[in-house]
Amino acid sequence: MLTLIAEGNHGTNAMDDLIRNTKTAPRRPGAEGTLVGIATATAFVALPTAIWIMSHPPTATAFSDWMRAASYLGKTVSVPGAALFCLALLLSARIPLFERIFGDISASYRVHQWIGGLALILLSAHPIGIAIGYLAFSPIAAARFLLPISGTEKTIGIAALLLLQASIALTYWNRIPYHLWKLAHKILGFACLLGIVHALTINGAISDMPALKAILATYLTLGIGAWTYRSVAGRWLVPRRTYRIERVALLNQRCVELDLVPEGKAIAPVPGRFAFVTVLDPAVPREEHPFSIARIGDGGRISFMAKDLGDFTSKLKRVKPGSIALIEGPYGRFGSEAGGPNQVWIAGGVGITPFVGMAETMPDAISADLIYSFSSHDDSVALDVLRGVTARNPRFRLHEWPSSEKGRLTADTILEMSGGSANKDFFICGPGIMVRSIRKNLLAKGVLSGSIHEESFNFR
Amino acid sequence: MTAMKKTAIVALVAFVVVAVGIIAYGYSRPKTAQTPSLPATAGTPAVTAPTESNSAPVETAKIVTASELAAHSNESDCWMAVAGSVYDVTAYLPNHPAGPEAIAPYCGKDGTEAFLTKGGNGEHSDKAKEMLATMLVGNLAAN
Repeated sequence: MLTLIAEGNHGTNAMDDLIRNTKTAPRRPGAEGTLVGIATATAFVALPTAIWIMSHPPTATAFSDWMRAASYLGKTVSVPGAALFCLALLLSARIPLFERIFGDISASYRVHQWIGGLALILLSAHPIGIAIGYLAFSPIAAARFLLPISGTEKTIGIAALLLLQASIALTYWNRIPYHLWKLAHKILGFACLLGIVHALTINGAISDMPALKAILATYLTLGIGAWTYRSVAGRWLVPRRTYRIERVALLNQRCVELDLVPEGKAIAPVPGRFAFVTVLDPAVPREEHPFSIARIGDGGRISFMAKDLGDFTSKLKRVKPGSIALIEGPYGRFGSEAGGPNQVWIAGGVGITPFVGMAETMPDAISADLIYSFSSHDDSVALDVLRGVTARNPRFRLHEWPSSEKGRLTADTILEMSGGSANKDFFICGPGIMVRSIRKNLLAKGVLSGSIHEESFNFR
Repeated sequence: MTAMKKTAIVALVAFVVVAVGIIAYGYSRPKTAQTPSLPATAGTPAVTAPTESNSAPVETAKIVTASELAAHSNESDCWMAVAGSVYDVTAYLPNHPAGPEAIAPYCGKDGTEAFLTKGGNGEHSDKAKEMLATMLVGNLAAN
């Protein structure tokens, strides 16, 4: 890795320190992390599954008809299903180690959602497969197997599965209130605990396999430990810094900016990164939400910008200066250090937020075109700040794109304004539809996937 | 919505449909006459198979000779004698919690002691005895 020390004269001590310490990083640092993450997750699941299959190898008899095959597969998929469930709980804990393993925290959350869905599928197939096997000799036995009417260990398993299914179904509901979404995740920890107890105690299976029992017990400990850390005892265990909200300013009819100063130790803010913010004010619910760090000032000052997009953000303008906010972070890998010397920054709406700080602290080694798309100038934010950077920094060029006047921003327009795609890194932040569309179109124009960086906060 | 979310939702719906279907099918089968009971082990009462079973009624149970029993002696065709009755456990073998290998040695033979003592590991549950009773073929001919 090539390390450069850059110097700048942007005026503030905090920004000077940031610029002096800026280093280049390999392109797409997340890519190596993602490969390591996939390998880690695969090994986590493959180990107990391999032990099970070696003890219960597939035989010709087991697949002699479709009912027997269903029974064999139903028993077998329970092991990777249980392992995936524990891994999903681990990933939900937002432990910095996983950000390194999976590339960035957004990626680890996407992996968490994916493996949670796969665990649900496999664990749902588990009792159905076994019940189909019972159908071969006794339909009533198959029916009774699916009901919690006999066997404590089986009843525990049924309860675990139903809790898992109900909780995950709730989290899939887009309109679910945030506090119910968090509650559904809390319930998942209980489901995991019941599921592993079922696996370890059900007669004649894993309970007779000491090695597999030890592995699943370890996975359960890790998963429940992570769940306890984040979902149960997070208020006391998760390290958060205390800030005081100094100013709440309406930037336009729908956007608000909060300026915060640290009370005690501050986070180490990096332009382009984001943090989880919990505001302790009666005007808003006590919930944590991710926000990009917009600006960084002296003495650890940071600011966030938020658009009125939901229950929480719509109430932020009523927060009183002097209220306390708890900050956890920074997270993410979005920032100019993730790319080469020539960059194109594409912002849609409130997606301008990370680019404000990135523009103000841009190292001398970087040259950037910022293309800012907004509906109309009434909806734009921070234009005065960005125009000021343009005026004093010849390596920064601002392209304003009011879509109500100029139409939708396209990849062709972006490349035309920025002078082509050769040897450039593209950074995109904005509404999901816009980010996906522009990414797709840039790829179609021949831009390499490794040269496109996105910021998305889709943790739901 | 991601592809995995869509797949998981489909799997959830399929789970409900199939589970309800199996339960409804199992309980919709016609009730039969009482099937023979399995002998009691020390300290526990004899277990009578539930009437809502799918095995053949007692009055049609056949007589199985020793040579006929011995002809069904492998995992793909496994009859076992327990306490004077003969049971076709072929379809059940893959579902046996301790694996088919626990039953396979008794295919075509008398497995009374093995069944009643669970291979020396205690005794089978009442549920296991009820399940065995649903697999009745007939009564073993007296020598």
